[in-house]
Amino acid sequence: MSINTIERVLWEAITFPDKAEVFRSQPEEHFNSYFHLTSQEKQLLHEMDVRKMADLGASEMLLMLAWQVVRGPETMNEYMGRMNTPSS
Amino acid sequence: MSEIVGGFLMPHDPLISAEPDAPPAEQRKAVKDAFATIASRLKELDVDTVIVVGDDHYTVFGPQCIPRYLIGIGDVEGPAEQWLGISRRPIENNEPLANHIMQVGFDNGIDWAVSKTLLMDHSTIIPIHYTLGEGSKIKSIPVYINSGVMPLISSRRAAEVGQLIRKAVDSWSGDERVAILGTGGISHWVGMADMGKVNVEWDKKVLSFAEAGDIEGLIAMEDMDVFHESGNGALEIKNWIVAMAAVPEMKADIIAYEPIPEWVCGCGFAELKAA
Repeated sequence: MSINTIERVLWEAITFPDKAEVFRSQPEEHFNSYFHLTSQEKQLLHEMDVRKMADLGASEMLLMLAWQVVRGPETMNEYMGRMNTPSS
Repeated sequence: MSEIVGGFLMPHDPLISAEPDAPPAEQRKAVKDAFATIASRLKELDVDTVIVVGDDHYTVFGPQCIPRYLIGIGDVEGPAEQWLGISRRPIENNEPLANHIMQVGFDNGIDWAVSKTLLMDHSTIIPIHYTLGEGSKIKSIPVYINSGVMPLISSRRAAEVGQLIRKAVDSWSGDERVAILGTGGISHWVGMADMGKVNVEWDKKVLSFAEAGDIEGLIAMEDMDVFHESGNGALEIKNWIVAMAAVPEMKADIIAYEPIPEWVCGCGFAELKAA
Protein backbone atom coordinates (compact mmCIF):
# COMPACT_ATOMS: atom_id res chain seq x y z
CA MET A 1 0.00 0.00 0.00
CA SER A 2 1.23 3.49 -0.82
CA ILE A 3 0.21 6.75 0.72
CA ASN A 4 1.38 8.77 -2.26
CA THR A 5 -1.88 8.90 -4.15
CA ILE A 6 -3.85 9.04 -0.92
CA GLU A 7 -1.99 12.28 -0.20
CA ARG A 8 -2.72 13.48 -3.73
CA VAL A 9 -6.47 12.88 -3.33
CA LEU A 10 -6.48 14.67 0.03
CA TRP A 11 -4.38 17.57 -1.22
CA GLU A 12 -6.55 18.05 -4.30
CA ALA A 13 -9.62 18.10 -2.06
CA ILE A 14 -8.24 20.96 0.02
CA THR A 15 -6.91 22.82 -3.02
CA PHE A 16 -9.65 22.50 -5.65
CA PRO A 17 -13.27 23.06 -4.56
CA ASP A 18 -14.62 20.99 -7.47
CA LYS A 19 -12.53 18.02 -6.34
CA ALA A 20 -13.82 18.42 -2.80
CA GLU A 21 -17.38 18.44 -4.09
CA VAL A 22 -17.05 15.17 -6.02
CA PHE A 23 -15.14 13.63 -3.09
CA ARG A 24 -18.22 14.29 -0.95
CA SER A 25 -20.97 13.61 -3.49
CA GLN A 26 -19.59 10.86 -5.75
CA PRO A 27 -16.68 9.27 -3.87
CA GLU A 28 -16.55 5.96 -5.74
CA GLU A 29 -16.54 7.62 -9.14
CA HIS A 30 -14.04 10.18 -7.89
CA PHE A 31 -11.62 7.63 -6.46
CA ASN A 32 -11.84 5.52 -9.62
CA SER A 33 -10.38 8.46 -11.57
CA TYR A 34 -7.03 7.96 -9.82
CA PHE A 35 -4.94 5.24 -11.51
CA HIS A 36 -2.82 4.31 -8.52
CA LEU A 37 -5.40 3.86 -5.77
CA THR A 38 -5.94 0.28 -4.62
CA SER A 39 -9.34 -0.86 -3.42
CA GLN A 40 -8.05 -0.80 0.16
CA GLU A 41 -6.85 2.78 -0.24
CA LYS A 42 -10.19 3.80 -1.72
CA GLN A 43 -11.88 2.29 1.32
CA LEU A 44 -9.67 4.27 3.70
CA LEU A 45 -10.56 7.47 1.89
CA HIS A 46 -14.25 6.59 1.71
CA GLU A 47 -14.33 6.02 5.47
CA MET A 48 -11.90 8.89 6.15
CA ASP A 49 -10.00 6.48 8.38
CA VAL A 50 -7.55 9.21 9.36
CA ARG A 51 -5.77 7.20 12.02
CA LYS A 52 -5.01 4.33 9.65
CA MET A 53 -3.85 6.72 6.93
CA ALA A 54 -1.63 8.50 9.47
CA ASP A 55 -0.19 5.18 10.60
CA LEU A 56 0.65 4.45 6.95
CA GLY A 57 2.56 7.73 6.74
CA ALA A 58 0.09 10.30 5.44
CA SER A 59 0.77 13.82 6.69
CA GLU A 60 -1.35 14.59 9.75
CA MET A 61 -1.48 18.26 8.73
CA LEU A 62 -2.97 17.22 5.40
CA LEU A 63 -5.38 14.77 7.04
CA MET A 64 -6.67 17.46 9.38
CA LEU A 65 -7.21 19.99 6.59
CA ALA A 66 -8.85 17.42 4.32
CA TRP A 67 -11.11 16.20 7.13
CA GLN A 68 -12.47 19.70 7.56
CA VAL A 69 -13.14 20.03 3.85
CA VAL A 70 -14.76 16.63 3.48
CA ARG A 71 -16.60 16.28 6.80
CA GLY A 72 -16.81 19.90 7.97
CA PRO A 73 -14.85 21.91 10.52
CA GLU A 74 -17.65 21.43 13.06
CA THR A 75 -16.74 17.73 13.26
CA MET A 76 -13.18 18.19 14.53
CA ASN A 77 -14.09 16.41 17.76
CA GLU A 78 -14.80 13.30 15.72
CA TYR A 79 -11.48 13.75 13.93
CA MET A 80 -9.62 13.91 17.24
CA GLY A 81 -11.56 10.93 18.51
CA ARG A 82 -10.53 8.90 15.50
CA MET A 83 -6.90 10.00 15.76
CA ASN A 84 -6.90 8.84 19.36
CA THR A 85 -8.34 5.43 18.53
CA PRO A 86 -5.63 2.97 17.48
CA SER A 87 -6.31 1.44 14.10
CA SER A 88 -6.91 -2.30 13.88
CA MET B 1 28.12 46.84 1.84
CA SER B 2 25.01 44.94 2.94
CA GLU B 3 25.01 42.95 6.16
CA ILE B 4 22.86 40.82 8.41
CA VAL B 5 22.35 43.09 11.39
CA GLY B 6 20.19 40.77 13.41
CA GLY B 7 17.83 37.87 13.59
CA PHE B 8 14.72 36.80 15.42
CA LEU B 9 12.93 33.58 16.31
CA MET B 10 9.16 33.52 16.62
CA PRO B 11 6.10 31.34 16.14
CA HIS B 12 4.00 31.41 13.00
CA ASP B 13 0.99 29.75 14.60
CA PRO B 14 -2.04 30.46 12.35
CA LEU B 15 -4.39 30.39 15.32
CA ILE B 16 -2.83 33.64 16.58
CA SER B 17 -4.84 35.42 13.89
CA ALA B 18 -7.59 32.86 13.26
CA GLU B 19 -8.56 32.38 16.93
CA PRO B 20 -7.16 35.55 18.52
CA ASP B 21 -9.30 35.42 21.66
CA ALA B 22 -8.85 31.75 22.49
CA PRO B 23 -6.08 31.93 25.13
CA PRO B 24 -6.26 33.73 28.49
CA ALA B 25 -5.83 37.51 28.23
CA GLU B 26 -2.46 37.45 29.95
CA GLN B 27 -1.00 35.08 27.37
CA ARG B 28 -2.55 36.96 24.47
CA LYS B 29 -0.89 40.11 25.75
CA ALA B 30 2.46 38.38 26.18
CA VAL B 31 2.42 37.23 22.56
CA LYS B 32 1.27 40.62 21.27
CA ASP B 33 3.99 42.34 23.29
CA ALA B 34 6.65 39.92 22.01
CA PHE B 35 5.77 40.67 18.40
CA ALA B 36 5.78 44.39 19.24
CA THR B 37 9.24 44.05 20.79
CA ILE B 38 10.53 42.49 17.58
CA ALA B 39 8.88 45.22 15.50
CA SER B 40 10.54 47.83 17.67
CA ARG B 41 13.95 46.16 17.45
CA LEU B 42 13.68 46.02 13.64
CA LYS B 43 13.23 49.79 13.66
CA GLU B 44 16.09 50.33 16.10
CA LEU B 45 18.36 48.21 13.91
CA ASP B 46 17.27 50.27 10.90
CA VAL B 47 16.42 47.11 8.99
CA ASP B 48 15.24 47.56 5.42
CA THR B 49 14.92 43.90 4.38
CA VAL B 50 13.84 40.79 6.25
CA ILE B 51 14.47 37.27 5.07
CA VAL B 52 11.57 35.21 6.40
CA VAL B 53 12.23 31.49 6.81
CA GLY B 54 9.09 29.38 6.89
CA ASP B 55 7.92 25.97 5.78
CA ASP B 56 5.01 24.77 3.72
CA HIS B 57 2.15 22.82 5.29
CA TYR B 58 0.83 21.20 2.09
CA THR B 59 -0.75 24.58 1.44
CA VAL B 60 1.54 26.13 -1.16
CA PHE B 61 2.92 22.91 -2.61
CA GLY B 62 1.45 19.43 -2.96
CA PRO B 63 2.73 15.86 -3.08
CA GLN B 64 3.54 16.33 -6.78
CA CYS B 65 6.44 18.66 -5.90
CA ILE B 66 8.00 19.19 -2.47
CA PRO B 67 10.88 21.69 -2.64
CA ARG B 68 13.70 20.99 -0.20
CA TYR B 69 14.49 24.70 -0.02
CA LEU B 70 13.01 27.48 -2.06
CA ILE B 71 13.46 31.20 -2.45
CA GLY B 72 10.90 33.67 -3.74
CA ILE B 73 12.68 35.96 -6.19
CA GLY B 74 9.78 37.77 -7.81
CA ASP B 75 6.16 38.67 -7.13
CA VAL B 76 4.98 37.50 -3.73
CA GLU B 77 1.64 37.78 -2.01
CA GLY B 78 -0.32 36.13 0.74
CA PRO B 79 -1.74 34.57 2.73
CA ALA B 80 -2.98 31.54 0.85
CA GLU B 81 -5.39 30.65 3.64
CA GLN B 82 -8.58 32.75 3.81
CA TRP B 83 -9.39 31.36 7.27
CA LEU B 84 -6.45 33.22 8.83
CA GLY B 85 -8.53 36.38 9.02
CA ILE B 86 -5.79 38.32 7.24
CA SER B 87 -6.60 39.86 3.86
CA ARG B 88 -4.47 38.71 0.97
CA ARG B 89 -2.16 41.43 -0.26
CA PRO B 90 1.05 41.90 -2.21
CA ILE B 91 4.26 41.71 -0.20
CA GLU B 92 7.12 43.89 -1.37
CA ASN B 93 10.09 41.68 -2.19
CA ASN B 94 13.71 42.81 -2.40
CA GLU B 95 14.08 41.23 -5.81
CA PRO B 96 17.70 42.23 -6.56
CA LEU B 97 18.95 40.78 -3.28
CA ALA B 98 16.72 37.71 -3.59
CA ASN B 99 18.14 37.02 -7.06
CA HIS B 100 21.65 37.47 -5.72
CA ILE B 101 21.02 34.98 -2.91
CA MET B 102 19.66 32.57 -5.50
CA GLN B 103 22.73 32.94 -7.72
CA VAL B 104 25.22 32.64 -4.86
CA GLY B 105 23.40 29.45 -3.93
CA PHE B 106 23.71 28.07 -7.44
CA ASP B 107 27.41 28.90 -7.42
CA ASN B 108 28.00 27.28 -4.02
CA GLY B 109 26.10 24.02 -3.98
CA ILE B 110 22.71 25.26 -2.75
CA ASP B 111 20.50 24.54 -5.75
CA TRP B 112 17.43 26.48 -4.73
CA ALA B 113 14.01 25.74 -6.05
CA VAL B 114 12.87 29.13 -7.27
CA SER B 115 9.49 30.78 -7.25
CA LYS B 116 8.87 33.74 -9.53
CA THR B 117 5.27 34.11 -8.32
CA LEU B 118 4.86 32.89 -4.76
CA LEU B 119 1.63 32.67 -2.80
CA MET B 120 2.86 32.61 0.79
CA ASP B 121 1.16 30.66 3.55
CA HIS B 122 0.81 31.46 7.24
CA SER B 123 4.37 30.40 8.02
CA THR B 124 5.74 33.55 6.42
CA ILE B 125 2.70 35.83 6.48
CA ILE B 126 2.04 35.62 10.23
CA PRO B 127 5.56 36.90 11.10
CA ILE B 128 5.35 39.63 8.45
CA HIS B 129 1.86 40.66 9.56
CA TYR B 130 2.75 40.95 13.24
CA THR B 131 6.26 42.38 13.02
CA LEU B 132 6.10 44.59 9.92
CA GLY B 133 2.40 45.23 9.47
CA GLU B 134 0.69 46.65 6.41
CA GLY B 135 2.32 49.61 4.73
CA SER B 136 5.78 48.86 6.09
CA LYS B 137 8.74 50.09 4.07
CA ILE B 138 10.69 46.97 5.04
CA LYS B 139 10.94 44.50 2.17
CA SER B 140 10.57 40.74 2.62
CA ILE B 141 12.39 37.86 0.95
CA PRO B 142 10.57 34.57 1.54
CA VAL B 143 12.55 31.38 2.02
CA TYR B 144 10.84 28.03 2.46
CA ILE B 145 12.62 24.95 3.73
CA ASN B 146 10.93 21.59 3.97
CA SER B 147 10.59 21.06 7.69
CA GLY B 148 6.89 20.27 7.44
CA VAL B 149 6.39 17.33 5.09
CA MET B 150 8.26 14.04 4.75
CA PRO B 151 10.94 13.62 3.41
CA LEU B 152 12.40 16.42 5.50
CA ILE B 153 15.42 18.58 4.89
CA SER B 154 18.24 17.53 7.19
CA SER B 155 19.11 19.91 9.99
CA ARG B 156 22.70 20.00 8.76
CA ARG B 157 21.50 21.13 5.35
CA ALA B 158 19.28 23.74 6.98
CA ALA B 159 22.36 25.19 8.67
CA GLU B 160 24.17 25.22 5.33
CA VAL B 161 21.28 27.16 3.80
CA GLY B 162 21.62 29.72 6.60
CA GLN B 163 25.37 29.99 6.08
CA LEU B 164 24.80 30.47 2.36
CA ILE B 165 22.33 33.28 3.02
CA ARG B 166 24.91 35.04 5.17
CA LYS B 167 27.60 34.58 2.51
CA ALA B 168 25.25 35.99 -0.13
CA VAL B 169 24.24 39.03 1.90
CA ASP B 170 27.88 39.73 2.79
CA SER B 171 28.84 39.64 -0.89
CA TRP B 172 25.99 41.82 -2.15
CA SER B 173 26.94 45.15 -3.67
CA GLY B 174 24.02 46.99 -2.10
CA ASP B 175 23.88 48.59 1.32
CA GLU B 176 20.90 46.74 2.76
CA ARG B 177 20.51 46.18 6.48
CA VAL B 178 19.05 42.69 6.70
CA ALA B 179 17.38 40.75 9.50
CA ILE B 180 16.52 37.07 9.27
CA LEU B 181 13.38 35.67 10.85
CA GLY B 182 13.32 31.99 11.82
CA THR B 183 9.70 31.02 12.31
CA GLY B 184 7.60 28.21 13.70
CA GLY B 185 7.76 25.74 16.55
CA ILE B 186 8.23 25.14 19.24
CA SER B 187 6.42 21.94 20.37
CA HIS B 188 3.12 21.25 18.66
CA TRP B 189 1.25 18.32 17.22
CA VAL B 190 -0.59 19.53 14.11
CA GLY B 191 -3.46 17.18 13.32
CA MET B 192 -1.90 14.48 15.49
CA ALA B 193 -3.54 12.59 18.34
CA ASP B 194 -1.80 14.84 20.89
CA MET B 195 -2.82 18.14 19.29
CA GLY B 196 -3.20 20.71 22.07
CA LYS B 197 -0.37 19.31 24.17
CA VAL B 198 2.72 21.46 24.81
CA ASN B 199 6.07 20.00 25.91
CA VAL B 200 7.34 22.87 28.07
CA GLU B 201 10.50 21.09 29.18
CA TRP B 202 11.53 20.36 25.61
CA ASP B 203 10.68 23.88 24.46
CA LYS B 204 12.91 25.32 27.17
CA LYS B 205 15.70 23.01 26.10
CA VAL B 206 15.44 24.35 22.55
CA LEU B 207 15.47 27.92 23.82
CA SER B 208 18.52 27.16 25.97
CA PHE B 209 20.37 25.95 22.87
CA ALA B 210 19.50 29.24 21.19
CA GLU B 211 20.63 31.24 24.22
CA ALA B 212 23.96 29.44 24.18
CA GLY B 213 24.33 29.89 20.42
CA ASP B 214 24.56 26.10 20.24
CA ILE B 215 23.41 25.34 16.71
CA GLU B 216 25.13 21.97 16.85
CA GLY B 217 22.96 21.05 19.83
CA LEU B 218 19.86 21.59 17.74
CA ILE B 219 21.31 19.83 14.72
CA ALA B 220 22.12 16.80 16.89
CA MET B 221 18.45 16.27 17.70
CA GLU B 222 17.23 13.31 15.65
CA ASP B 223 14.15 14.05 13.55
CA MET B 224 12.18 11.07 14.79
CA ASP B 225 12.99 11.91 18.42
CA VAL B 226 11.74 15.44 17.86
CA PHE B 227 8.62 14.11 16.13
CA HIS B 228 7.75 11.69 18.93
CA GLU B 229 8.69 13.93 21.87
CA SER B 230 7.29 17.23 20.67
CA GLY B 231 5.20 16.71 17.56
CA ASN B 232 5.44 17.21 13.83
CA GLY B 233 5.39 21.00 14.26
CA ALA B 234 8.48 20.90 16.46
CA LEU B 235 10.50 19.94 13.39
CA GLU B 236 10.21 23.62 12.49
CA ILE B 237 13.24 24.20 14.70
CA LYS B 238 14.99 23.57 11.38
CA ASN B 239 13.67 27.01 10.33
CA TRP B 240 15.31 28.39 13.46
CA ILE B 241 18.55 26.64 12.55
CA VAL B 242 18.61 28.47 9.21
CA ALA B 243 18.25 31.81 10.97
CA MET B 244 20.78 30.98 13.68
CA ALA B 245 23.33 29.88 11.09
CA ALA B 246 22.88 33.13 9.18
CA VAL B 247 23.83 35.36 12.12
CA PRO B 248 27.56 35.25 12.80
CA GLU B 249 28.61 33.83 16.20
CA MET B 250 25.14 34.51 17.49
CA LYS B 251 23.59 34.07 20.90
CA ALA B 252 19.91 34.55 21.61
CA ASP B 253 18.17 36.78 24.11
CA ILE B 254 14.84 35.26 25.01
CA ILE B 255 12.00 37.73 24.54
CA ALA B 256 9.13 35.54 25.70
CA TYR B 257 7.91 32.00 26.05
CA GLU B 258 4.30 30.99 26.49
CA PRO B 259 2.90 27.45 26.40
CA ILE B 260 -0.58 27.98 24.93
CA PRO B 261 -2.77 24.87 24.56
CA GLU B 262 -5.57 26.98 23.06
CA TRP B 263 -3.22 27.79 20.20
CA VAL B 264 -1.90 24.19 20.30
CA CYS B 265 1.66 25.46 20.53
CA GLY B 266 4.61 26.44 22.67
CA CYS B 267 5.26 30.01 21.51
CA GLY B 268 8.89 31.09 21.80
CA PHE B 269 10.40 34.47 20.87
CA ALA B 270 14.07 35.41 20.82
CA GLU B 271 16.48 37.91 19.35
CA LEU B 272 19.65 36.59 17.71
CA LYS B 273 22.57 38.85 18.45
CA ALA B 274 25.91 38.58 16.71
CA ALA B 275 28.89 38.23 19.02
